[in-house]
Amino acid sequence: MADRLDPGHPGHLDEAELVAVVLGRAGPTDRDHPRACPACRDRLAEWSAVRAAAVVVAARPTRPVPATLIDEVLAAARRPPPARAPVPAVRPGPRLAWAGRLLAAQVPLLRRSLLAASGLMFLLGVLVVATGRSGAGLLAAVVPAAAAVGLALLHGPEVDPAVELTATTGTSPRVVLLARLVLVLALDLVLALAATAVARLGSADVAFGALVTSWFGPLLLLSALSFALAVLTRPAIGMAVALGLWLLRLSALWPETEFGRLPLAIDRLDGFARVWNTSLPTIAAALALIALTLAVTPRRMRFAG
Amino acid sequence: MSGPPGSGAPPADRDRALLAAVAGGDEAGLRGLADRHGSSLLAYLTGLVGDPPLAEEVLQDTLLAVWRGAAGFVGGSTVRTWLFAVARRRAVDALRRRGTGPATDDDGVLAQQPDPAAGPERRLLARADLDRVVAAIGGLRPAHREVLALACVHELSGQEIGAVLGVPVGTVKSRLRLARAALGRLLESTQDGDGDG
Repeated sequence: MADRLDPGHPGHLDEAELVAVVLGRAGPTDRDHPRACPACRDRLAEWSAVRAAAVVVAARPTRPVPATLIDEVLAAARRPPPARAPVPAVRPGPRLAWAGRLLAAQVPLLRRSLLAASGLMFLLGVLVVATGRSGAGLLAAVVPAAAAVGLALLHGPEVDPAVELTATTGTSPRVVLLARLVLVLALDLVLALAATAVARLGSADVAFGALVTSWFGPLLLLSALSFALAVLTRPAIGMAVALGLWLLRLSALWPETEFGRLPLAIDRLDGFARVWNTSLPTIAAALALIALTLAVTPRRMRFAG
Repeated sequence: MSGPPGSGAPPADRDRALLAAVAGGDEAGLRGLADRHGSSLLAYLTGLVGDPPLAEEVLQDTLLAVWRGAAGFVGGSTVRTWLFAVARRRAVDALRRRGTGPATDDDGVLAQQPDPAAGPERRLLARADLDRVVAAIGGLRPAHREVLALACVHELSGQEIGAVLGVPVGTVKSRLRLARAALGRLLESTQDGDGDG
């Protein structure tokens, strides 16, 4: 407990822990802490008073759950859904508006993955700069890995606090997943293009197109792998495999650097490194992997309990 | 004859067994979940929407959503937390249909206000009469009343409250701290009023 930092009260029990002590649900360490800590003892006394009052407030509505409630629910469930007016064959306006709302609704849920990707971008940038790579090499090294980490953190109970809630909505998990994929991939591409424009300033002898080619294919393939493994297994596995593959790629690509001293930097990785380029087969493989992942994502989530 | 699904198991396992039964179309599963959590959900919803008849409608809507969506439960939280999350979503929808907005997230505004680290209002809150604290809770912002109810009455953990509200656990702790601080200020202001009168 002592190592935890409550932003409001550093070194003390935080608010949720104090409430747990009041409710008798805290562990022995938290339970004993206020005895030796006057500050937490004061806050605990406050929470005891708040809890007592909150219980009184909650007890005010005296209406019991109606005895017929479940029968009404089941009757409503058995009722056939109301007949719908025939849907016009083409409704681009409402459909576009709906897609826009769906994309916008994903933004607050993606902050964590985007922060993680940015953090990785920074860390890898420092690492690659330490090996003395050029701006073009830095882009090729950092951009695909950062995008892959972001995509590994798109979806799943471990990384998405709203996943259970999403499962109760009428929108299928597949559509939500696709919306997030489009959103993050688009953002990654915009950021990568901006970074390329900046890198171009320091590498005037290299064409902008050549710089984009250095990362585009690898970004797509590594992101597709990371996304597929994250959705079909777990986000951590998607992230770990993507980063592992990427280290191998750097190791084979730059044998003269620190990456080349990795135990797996052996000659036979040359063929492996050649896969990571911007070519039609690589792009097609990445898109096929994404399509396959979306195809096997269930329209409704399975019960996992 | 066997008992209801999951009877005799720990509460969380019993809830999972009941929900699995609902997913399989067993009406007894839904009755079991309503027996175990209906009152708690109704109290929460009444506090949230402020209108007992509407709260009952929302509870019915919630149980209908549970009946239809039980197979969508992936086990990332407890069933109880999931029920509260579904209920909240239905309540927000009901309020929107009525043209009333849901409780706004006003953490940014309230975070600017000082936390009474060890001031007189802190001692006030710990020593105030129960009736005065009850009245002060009525003066809190809806978002803070809600987080107090989820933590102190429905006994959800910080993590569980975060799942219900769709916010990080840090935000839950921050709201709890701000709610407590706001109560202290409300008590102080009413005491000043009493003194003036």
